[in-house]
Amino acid sequence: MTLSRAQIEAAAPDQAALKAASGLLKPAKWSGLGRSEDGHLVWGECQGSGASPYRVVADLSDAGSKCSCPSRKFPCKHGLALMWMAVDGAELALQETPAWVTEWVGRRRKSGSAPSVVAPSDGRSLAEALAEAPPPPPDPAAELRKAAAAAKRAGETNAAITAATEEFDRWAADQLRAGLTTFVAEAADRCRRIAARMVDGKAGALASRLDELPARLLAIPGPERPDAALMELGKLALLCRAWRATPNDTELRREVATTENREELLANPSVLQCASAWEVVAEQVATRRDGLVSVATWLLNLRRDGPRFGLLLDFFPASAGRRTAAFASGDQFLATLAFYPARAPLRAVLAERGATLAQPVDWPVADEEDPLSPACERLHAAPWALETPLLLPEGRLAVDRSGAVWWRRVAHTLPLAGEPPPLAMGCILTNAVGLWTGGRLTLLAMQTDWGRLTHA
Amino acid sequence: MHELEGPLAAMRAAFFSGRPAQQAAPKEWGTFTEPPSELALAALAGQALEVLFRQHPASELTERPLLPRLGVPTVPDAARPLVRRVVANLKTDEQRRQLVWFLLARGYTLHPADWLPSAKDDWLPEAYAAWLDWARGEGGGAFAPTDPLTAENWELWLWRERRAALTALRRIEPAAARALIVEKGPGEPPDRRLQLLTILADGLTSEDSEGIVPFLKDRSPRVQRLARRLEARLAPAAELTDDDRELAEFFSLSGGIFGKPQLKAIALKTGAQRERRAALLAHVRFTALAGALRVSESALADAAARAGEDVQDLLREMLLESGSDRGLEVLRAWARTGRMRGAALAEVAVHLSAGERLGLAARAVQEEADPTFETALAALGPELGGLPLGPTHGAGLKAVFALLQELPDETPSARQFRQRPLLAGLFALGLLVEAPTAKALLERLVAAGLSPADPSLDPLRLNAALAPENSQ
Repeated sequence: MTLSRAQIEAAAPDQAALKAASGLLKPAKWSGLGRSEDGHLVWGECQGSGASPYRVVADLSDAGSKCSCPSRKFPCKHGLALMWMAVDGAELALQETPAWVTEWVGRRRKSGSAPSVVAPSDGRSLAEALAEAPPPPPDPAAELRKAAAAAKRAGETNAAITAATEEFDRWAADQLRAGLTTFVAEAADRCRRIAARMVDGKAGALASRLDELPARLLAIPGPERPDAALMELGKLALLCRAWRATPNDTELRREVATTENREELLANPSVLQCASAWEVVAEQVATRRDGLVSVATWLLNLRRDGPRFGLLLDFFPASAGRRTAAFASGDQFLATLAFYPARAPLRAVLAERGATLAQPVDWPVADEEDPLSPACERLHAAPWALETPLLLPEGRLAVDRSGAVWWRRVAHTLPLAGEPPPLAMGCILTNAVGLWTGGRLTLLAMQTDWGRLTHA
Repeated sequence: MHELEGPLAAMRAAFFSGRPAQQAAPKEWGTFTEPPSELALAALAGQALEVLFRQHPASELTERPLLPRLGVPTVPDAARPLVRRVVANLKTDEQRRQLVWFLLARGYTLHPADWLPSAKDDWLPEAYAAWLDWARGEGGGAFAPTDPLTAENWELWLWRERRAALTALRRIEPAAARALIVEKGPGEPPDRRLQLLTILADGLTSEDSEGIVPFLKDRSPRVQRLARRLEARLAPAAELTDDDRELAEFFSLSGGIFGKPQLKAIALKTGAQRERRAALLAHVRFTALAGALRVSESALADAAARAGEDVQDLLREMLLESGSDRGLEVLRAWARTGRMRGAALAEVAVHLSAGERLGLAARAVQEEADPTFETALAALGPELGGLPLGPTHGAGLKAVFALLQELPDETPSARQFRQRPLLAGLFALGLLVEAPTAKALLERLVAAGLSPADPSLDPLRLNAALAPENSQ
């Protein structure tokens, strides 16, 4: 290791980044800290404001680093903190280099050998970053004014969202009057216009769902699209109606407007926290029309208690470039998930990441009755729900005469969305996890007589 | 039939076409949607569609047969992440072949979840035949061959069994085997046509001439080439053409010492002459050239074996294309001299002994300053992973380390350009050498500046991880 504190100061983009990094120096903020045999590479996972932790790696030979956080600063506070801990002699276990670190090393363009002369740090200082700033003196009058302003803003926001949902109803009724066949043909333009109106009306989540509707329709066969449009417009109408009836419902606010942040969620004492062993079933990455990249990590609860699935959902600006995945499919670890309050809890954040399971744990036994009953139950609780993860019992894939692929178990058949991996057609699926969306099953992962298969 | 099926169908039709759906809705739904609203009806209809009605296949469903287990085990689970990374970084189909061969040489096949062949991967070694059959939608049937192989039951046999039956038939009833090959061969994929022709080559007689004819115009160059070689083995020189005579004029065959004729290439003066000679070399057959030079094919091959390197360069392709068994011997002799390269060497090397191939590869690594080790790979063909190479010697290794040392001083664009041969070289090394050498090379490359986590070292790491037990 050749890195010095002076080099970290020189590499930091500004003093604020160092200050922020100083808050991440406690090992408790990190999991999976490790270093390579030659001592040049260090890595770890740091919990940030997202649902999943950020993966951070640094090369101590030249102060290079990479982090999966969306920060535009380089190095970001996580990279700086990791290097800082390494330089200060933090306990970093000697480990086999993980695949995501190897991948970074392969992609990386080194700037040659490490500079022998350290650039001046222009006033950036680690010591100063560690110094505690005195808290501002309390001002009760200012606090009251702030609270009153916040209440006024909340009232205005609710009124705007209500107006937006009413505008959606009028628009959706217009689409029905014009005919859904026409709507499907012109969905891109029509949805973009109404989504913009929803953004103006502070109904951001509703806007996103409408913005993505044309892409979802395009992903299914043409003859099924009018039905899919009917189901989705109906769900959104129910959602709007429910919001107007109970605008203070946190789940409905999340579905229509905005999601509470991680701190707000964890501060809520009534939040369902589930400590269990989890397996990363799959990670779905999609670029949305609003320029954000959504990363959906599906976790399967390997124990009996608590929700069967957890969904970690993160968003990044597409302009931030390629991001290292937070997990690898098939990872099994102990963790506490904090579920967003909902009628059928699914979306969650990783409250605490524990150790990786030493021995692989089998998937739980799937219900052998109707494989779609969880989807029906979910729709019963939250009729606006878009998708339901399913744990399927033993079955096989089969094709009909048109070449369409179906999952089959005795009398139950589910049509598949997209092409399965070729091997899945030739093996017994002893278990499968899929996403039931709009009448089709997207396979995410399978346990087979050939081992585990991932498809996402 | 569900009671809602009729009303829902009418409502959907109304919603799709833009007509009011209220009249088609069940009466009870009116009480849920106060005041009556088309949007509320749409919400109810959507929910009913999703919960009550499910898609069913329009026709009978068929399952594909289960993927058969191969006779060779798949890569151990512990090495599979490494294999997946190597597979993900493969740059060419040739590299994929080399990886398959390397693993097989170490006693493993790829795991089908990491890579499964497609129907067109006809280059695959025999160990993968069952998967290739599966990918082509064959096998898994209940047919147990008790009757002899005939044109009528040809399709019912698994390819491996069909080939075994045909090979046996060729020995007992060569004419019957030939008739089957001629009738059914054209309908088979290229790799199988090649294998059928190889069966025909066993005990080849002049009666097989007509059987070879359809394969002379085969769509596959490999099949064509083998057919021409078989034809050359059988056929007396056909009637000479003007092209044959014209090509002969580019060579001189004169009496040499001890009465052995010396074959020389006539010195050319213009580019046009060189172009014309190249064009003639591309299509004139070796036997025809022999005829035009008024010697037997075997005598011309003997003369070619003694000829200079310029003549070797000119006649190599022709011998590969249309040389008989004697021509192949000449090619083998040329290969042993170490002057042959690339695809030509790869084609001839399969006719050399394992020891000869290993010797050629070792010499190439030792003497050629080629960081991509092309000649060594071509010489070894499918028998990879066994080169007993000293990790500190050889011009090839020096070239790799020289590239490694130069990289940090290059500009980013030049570095990217220079990285390509380095990556190809590290891949080749990873598949060429013995496991102990792979371990030694890993240490040396890390000491030379590569990060131990660098993915370009994955092939070497895989090699070391799959060490045969006796080399541990």
